[in-house]
Amino acid sequence: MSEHHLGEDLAEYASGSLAGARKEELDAHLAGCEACRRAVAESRRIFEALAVSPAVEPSAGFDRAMFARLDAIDAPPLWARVLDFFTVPRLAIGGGLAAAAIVAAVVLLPGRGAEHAVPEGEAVAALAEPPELLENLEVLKELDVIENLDVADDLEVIDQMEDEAG
Amino acid sequence: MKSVGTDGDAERMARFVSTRDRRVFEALFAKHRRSMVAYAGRYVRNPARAEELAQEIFVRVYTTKSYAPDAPFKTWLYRVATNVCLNEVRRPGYKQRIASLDASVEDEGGVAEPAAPAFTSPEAQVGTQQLARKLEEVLGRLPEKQRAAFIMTRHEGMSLEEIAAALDTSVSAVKSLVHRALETMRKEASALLEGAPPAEARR
Repeated sequence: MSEHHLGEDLAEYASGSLAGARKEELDAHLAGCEACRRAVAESRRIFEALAVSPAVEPSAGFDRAMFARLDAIDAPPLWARVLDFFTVPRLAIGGGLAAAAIVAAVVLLPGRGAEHAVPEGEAVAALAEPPELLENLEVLKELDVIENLDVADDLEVIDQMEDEAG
Repeated sequence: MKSVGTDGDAERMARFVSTRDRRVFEALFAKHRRSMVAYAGRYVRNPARAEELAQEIFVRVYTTKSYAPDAPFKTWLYRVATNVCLNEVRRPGYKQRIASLDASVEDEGGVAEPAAPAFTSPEAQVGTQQLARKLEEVLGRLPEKQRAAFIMTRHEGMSLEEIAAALDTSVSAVKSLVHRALETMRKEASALLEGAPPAEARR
């Protein structure tokens, strides 16, 4: 039967990791079987060629990129930022716009302690934009976040905005 | 905490899942980062993409909610890694990306050349490099599981049992996968294998 031939033992035999009775059986078999000898020779050549294939190594920036991703995963959720981290300029604008500023600021500023100055005119103009503004990372990263926030009032407004957003 | 025998990594992972202590994770990361980048590189060959896949693997480790250490950590890690890499292989456009990478390697020699063993002649070295490139190309076209099993046995040096656990299948199934992959390589690289030196008797 074909069990005398290597069959699926080819890889193990050729790599030298086969041991015991089966190995001895195949040693004896190979002496008289050219097809199996050729199979072993080719397999060894294949393994040898694969072994010289270079492995990709981590680049200099790999670890840093990794930890940046983990930081993003660990970043505090929206509601915690609203409570703890951010304030909004107390400009003379309507409650809706103030709420937009809060939501925009907390959604898109990267972490606590962000301080970026922006001309007041630009900030007001930005706040006048519709909710699509929330997607505009560049503008919102520059929103000035400095003055004291009356949290209770503004949380109410945020609730209202969330209800409207649905 | 449930005993996990002598697998330190399994203990670490269990401890990380319950404490969320980043330093514990970083110990695992430090130990396995190179092998994950290398493993992903066997599937995509583009170094930047391989790094992204490796990061994806570690993100999955990092965000794991429950870990039952009834198997060695390495086995579990390779299961996660194989899922990530096979997902990549299944992404639309994967074949085109790899084909264009192969083409650019031919033209520009962008990817690192295989290093031939030092004791061979120049002719033999060229032959080995040629064969290596051909085999990598054949590997890239194998059915998923054959490819994964073959990479794990030849490039990662894993045992049949480890591979079976990583692929969630039986040892005999793994043996069959590896064998079919090897037979395909012998067939598709037969022109380059012609005149392979006779097998030396190994005792």
